[in-house]
Amino acid sequence: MSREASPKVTAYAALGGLALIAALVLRRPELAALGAPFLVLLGAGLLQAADPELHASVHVGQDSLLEGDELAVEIRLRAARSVERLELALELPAGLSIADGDNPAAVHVAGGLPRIVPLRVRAERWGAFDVGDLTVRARDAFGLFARTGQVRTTASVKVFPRREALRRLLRPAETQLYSGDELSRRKGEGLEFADLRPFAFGDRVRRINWRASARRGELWVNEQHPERNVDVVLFVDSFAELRRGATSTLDLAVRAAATLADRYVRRRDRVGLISFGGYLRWLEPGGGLVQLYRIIDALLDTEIMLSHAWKAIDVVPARTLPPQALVVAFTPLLDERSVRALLHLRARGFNLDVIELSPLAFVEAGESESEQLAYRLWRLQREVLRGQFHAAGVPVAEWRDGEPLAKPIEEVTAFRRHARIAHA
Amino acid sequence: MLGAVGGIAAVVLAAALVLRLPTLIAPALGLLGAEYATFFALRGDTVDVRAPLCGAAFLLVAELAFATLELRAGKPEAGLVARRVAILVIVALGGILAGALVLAAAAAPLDGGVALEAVGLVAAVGLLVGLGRVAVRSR
Repeated sequence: MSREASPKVTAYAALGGLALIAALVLRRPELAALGAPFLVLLGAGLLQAADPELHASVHVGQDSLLEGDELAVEIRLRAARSVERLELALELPAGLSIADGDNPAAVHVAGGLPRIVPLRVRAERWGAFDVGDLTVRARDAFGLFARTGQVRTTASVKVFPRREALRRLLRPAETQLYSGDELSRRKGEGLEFADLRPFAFGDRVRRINWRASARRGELWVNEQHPERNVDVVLFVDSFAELRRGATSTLDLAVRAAATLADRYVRRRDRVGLISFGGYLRWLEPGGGLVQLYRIIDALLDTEIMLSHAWKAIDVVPARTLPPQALVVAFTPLLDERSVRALLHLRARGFNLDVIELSPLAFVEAGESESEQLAYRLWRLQREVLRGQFHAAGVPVAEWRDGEPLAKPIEEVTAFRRHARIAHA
Repeated sequence: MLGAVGGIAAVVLAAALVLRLPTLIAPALGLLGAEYATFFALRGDTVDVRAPLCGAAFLLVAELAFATLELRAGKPEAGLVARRVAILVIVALGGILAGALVLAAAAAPLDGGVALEAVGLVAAVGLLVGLGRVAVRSR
């Protein structure tokens, strides 16, 4: 800890010394009496100015929590000598804020006794955060000296994105081979009735539909839809974002991707991730809780990195995009590279759904006529872009902050139902 | 004239507080002290027994002025302000006691002379040097 003297030290020494000299020169003892209090206080303060040997540490109650939850943080203090006034300032990163307690705070620490200063910290935003350093300043009883130091904290906290409520998930056009919870459109062994067909050699007797067989005069058997798993690849566009206050399009993307990853993994589906942006990262599809945490960790590290390099979807390893996988893209449709990559995926035959993280809530039309014209043109361009996706058979559903995620999911489902009827 | 010196002292102190310049507090108090010394010079040989009270008042003014200018971070917990006030009261009482002791020592029936004055001067300088040494050691 570094020590600094208050301007009082110099001032009191000068006043006291001046008063003593003046008392001698002018032969007036009153002047000595006038300066004596300053010198007494200075002497008492100097005798108490020893290092209080302060030990401070920061402890966090948990290392992971959900966006919006509160975290208990304790500042533990112990000093060999009393500290009359100890000022504490915990540097919190953007995304964490004080919910309860004072920061900065000033407390008294009794010598030899432990002291705990509790704080409640609210996680305002998802992300991986290092709880910042603690700055302490110890002042003596007379305010003559202050010792300042910084305590490095090693505590880090992962704030998982808030989950959205969903009644149902996006259904893929095709399922995979392994058993799961998704009803396959194919016919085979399963629970859900699919169709009737004439008996063929090799069919089990238990599959015979006796009522239908009696009506038709020959043996007919039931066919079922098998329950299969799904490969889902979550495509997060991190080329660009629009932000207003504490919310951004990237926040929406991460929240939606985390919600879907959680729901699909719990259904025994395999989920992969492609974070497509200035910093490219991917995770091959996999199942289980470990995979879910891998995805969440990757999402927490997602950030917008400015890059002008052209990137195509070809740079992603083929195994990350298994055949017949359902690709769910979360994009504000602001960067041409991600738009081209998505259309490329569709051209390769992937089952693609686009959740458009609407940037309209983050942009104002402006006041001048030219600004409003530009705004209208920009909106028209976006309509054209959506039309391109629709023409390619890709549903684009808009999701705005504050709306339930179920809304775009239902929109996509409705688009698929409508498209199937149209093509029939 | 005394009023003018006091007025200048008050203006300097106000400037220190308004401009947030702690270095002006000591000159303001020095001017007040000079006014007090001039008052003694005009008054004659009688000893002013109120000097300890004035010294404590000077110290309180200085403490409050420095407290106003000090950069203090953080909302103080309950009881911290009360402790600070208690310390200020103790300091003021200690100042009165110290001043009274000085006056009592000055009133002791000792024969004056150059030798005694030299001892006093050496004691004053020794006190300042001693304070300086303690200050250096406590770093």
